[in-house]
Amino acid sequence: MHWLDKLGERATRSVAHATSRRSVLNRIGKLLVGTAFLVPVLPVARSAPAAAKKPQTDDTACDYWRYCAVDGFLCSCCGGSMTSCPPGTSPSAVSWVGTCHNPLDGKDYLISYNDCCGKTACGKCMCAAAERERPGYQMFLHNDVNWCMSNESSIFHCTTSVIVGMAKPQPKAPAKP
Amino acid sequence: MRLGGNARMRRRCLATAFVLLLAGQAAAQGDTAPTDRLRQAARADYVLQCAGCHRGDGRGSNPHGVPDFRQSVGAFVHLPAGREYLVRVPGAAHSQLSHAELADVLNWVLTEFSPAQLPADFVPYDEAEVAAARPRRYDDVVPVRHDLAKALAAMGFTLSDYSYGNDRKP
Repeated sequence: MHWLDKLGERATRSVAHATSRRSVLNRIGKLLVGTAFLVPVLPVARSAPAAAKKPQTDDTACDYWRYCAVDGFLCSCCGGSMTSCPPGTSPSAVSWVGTCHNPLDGKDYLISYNDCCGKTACGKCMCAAAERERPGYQMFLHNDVNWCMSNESSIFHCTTSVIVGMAKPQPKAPAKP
Repeated sequence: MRLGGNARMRRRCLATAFVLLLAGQAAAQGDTAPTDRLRQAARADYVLQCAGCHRGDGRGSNPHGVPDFRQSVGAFVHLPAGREYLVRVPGAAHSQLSHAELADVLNWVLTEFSPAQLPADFVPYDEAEVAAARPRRYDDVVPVRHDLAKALAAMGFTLSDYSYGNDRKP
């Protein structure tokens, strides 16, 4: 191990010869401060932002925010759009109305789910996110209804999701004791 | 305990800050008067709880038994039985709204869709009136509606047609 001692001594002496102790501390400090801006050095929970779900922006996906209380085939997959009926169909006069939270602006909107009527079932993009829906014996909160019932043709094709207003601001939940 | 000058001053400052905070909040809500906010809330309740069938513009769907509110619904208020009917009709009475919210929605519906048919001395509904009338269910609402239409017609008011139970019209 004699050669290793000599190597170590030589290396240490050459460093000590070429630099002052203060300059070494100075450089190490600069390096630490410098990297702090590039790479976070403190022990923070870096997995948290990755775990937060990114808002869905595809309007043909069931988890797009406007579809929170939809029950039917999305018209955006059926030749229409989120708010308009495909050619050859007409919007239902009556509809299911729900409240959806828009994660993009943090506000709650009233959404009218008008069915498009007059052609046989589209069959694509079936979504049934029955938020705030209740079973049939709570009739006013029940959405398993053919909303084409009041149209000339009561054949259901697909469902649109139209914003019809802002939701009523909810009273803040009472603070827990 | 007697407050020292500093403490008293601090209290006054806190009170001022509180008032400013309230004012700031009012401004943040778009400088709307309380009545406007009440109407906005009533509209939101109407849209969520009623408009699915009665529709956003109140026109309903007459061929399917959802009568048109427009230029019609205000006439009910001319008769005590009609005023009560608007609270006791199942769509209102069985809704998810609280008594106070239902009163606000009724006032909104009347003034929004049928102001010309309202009596000049119309007194808005309040929570107590709704609470008193609401629990008394109609055994059968259809003849009540048809009888009211007949009585109001005799007074010169035309209600929008109510197609449900046409064969039972008096």
